[in-house]
Amino acid sequence: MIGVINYGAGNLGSVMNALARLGLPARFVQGPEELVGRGSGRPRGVAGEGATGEGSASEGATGEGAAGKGATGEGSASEGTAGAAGSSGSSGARSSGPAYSGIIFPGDGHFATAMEALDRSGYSEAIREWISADRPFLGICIGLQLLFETSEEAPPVQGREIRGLSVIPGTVRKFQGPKVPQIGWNETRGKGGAKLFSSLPDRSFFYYIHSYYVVPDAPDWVAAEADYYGTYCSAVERGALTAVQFHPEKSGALGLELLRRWAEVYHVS
Amino acid sequence: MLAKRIIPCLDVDDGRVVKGVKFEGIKDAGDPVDLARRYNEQGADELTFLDIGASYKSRDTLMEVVRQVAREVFIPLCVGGGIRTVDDMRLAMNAGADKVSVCTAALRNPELLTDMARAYGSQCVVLSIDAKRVSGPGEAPRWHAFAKGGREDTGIDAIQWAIDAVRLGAGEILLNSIDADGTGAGYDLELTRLVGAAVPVPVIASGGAGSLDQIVEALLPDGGNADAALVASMLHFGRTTIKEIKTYAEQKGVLVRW
Repeated sequence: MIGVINYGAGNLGSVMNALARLGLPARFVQGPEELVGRGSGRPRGVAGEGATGEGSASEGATGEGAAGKGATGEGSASEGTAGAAGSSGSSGARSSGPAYSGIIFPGDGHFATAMEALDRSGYSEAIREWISADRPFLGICIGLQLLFETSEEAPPVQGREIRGLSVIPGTVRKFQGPKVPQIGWNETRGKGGAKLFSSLPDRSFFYYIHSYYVVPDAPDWVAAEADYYGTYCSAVERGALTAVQFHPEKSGALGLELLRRWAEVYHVS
Repeated sequence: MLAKRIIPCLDVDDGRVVKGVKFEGIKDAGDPVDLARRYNEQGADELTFLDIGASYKSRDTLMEVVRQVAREVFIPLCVGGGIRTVDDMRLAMNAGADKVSVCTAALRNPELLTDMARAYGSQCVVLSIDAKRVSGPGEAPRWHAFAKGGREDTGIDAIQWAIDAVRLGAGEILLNSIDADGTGAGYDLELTRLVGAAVPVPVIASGGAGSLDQIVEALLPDGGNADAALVASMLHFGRTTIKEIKTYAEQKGVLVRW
């Protein structure tokens, strides 16, 4: 089971639709405790609320229809999360094995607003713990940027820095050029040695929509690059951690193939 | 480098794709889900659905179409036509749209663009401008933004409207030349270039593609310099395919995505 983190940023229906299309069972994570708890091997807290409640019905063979329905249903992914995130305390049961074989953290949003929501709900700590245990993680768009320490989108307030999840040393900068955000299909080059990206065919285009790009301190984080007012890092990899700036769920056949390979390489199912 | 986008536009009326000439004289062009599938397979970079039916039933039918397409087509989907409020936008987004386009409603109430951008981010807000040249021969060129599907001259300068709309929250401009729509006479290159130079967001050229050359001209830097071209009749009536458009554009030096 793949857990998709839904902290209220954007329409996550397309991620659920893409996973359903690939036959990969997925549901929205019901709260941070599901990442740190070591449950019985399947998710707890099945009775969610609002949009996430329907999503949670999507298990196994029935995943396709139900995931699509939950993701796009009334109440919307962008609203139904506060209840789920805050529902039951933290790390209550740490008895037996994680609920999910992999976590996807997608979404759009503002760096500061997103961090505030993650800190308040307890997701910040849970995500850091998940990643430090080297469990499969895929960040998409803001799910890449939030892994860094700081962002030009969230300058210090009264001298106090707004910190990201700080899993990756480095910062997030704004594109400098006449047309920002970047919207569209950009040619993306994988770096040699990168698990998911070294075998990207020539002229691989992915769909991007963003104003900010990540700058890791250590170049060996960079798994793929693209050009927009200069060359920038469009994907990172280390251990079981992968994060991409583009939207694989909106990048046609190539995007679906990348999601499929992520699940395959990291044994996520 | 960013590729130039080719975007099929599906005008949908009560569950059928239709296409008119100069906003009138409607012809049936097929089933929207079938066409969406076909264009996706041909390499469309995005799909735009415009509800041109007047009824709630037509809109509900379109939402069902979008829901179905979103389950099997994994490229950006834009929905427009009859979107007047943030609630309307929410319906479309929940059905699986990645962005919505607004035209008349934003002319009537420009704040709508701000409200939409606050709710979902400007990247989800496309301002559609139906522009018509109003200057006479020999005069400096001027265009007005028209409302109600091209029937009402608002008197608002189209280029200024684009600038204001982006300031208010629009993240993309869909620029439709009424003079050219469906006639096959070509996009309005001058207007397209001027709007593109005036705003910091992508411009999608629309209205009037009648030949491969015209599509390519709209995209070339010394032509319309648009970021994307919307294509309807030429595709629906089988006069060309996305693949053919892209192959030709590439030969002419336009970067396209394969």
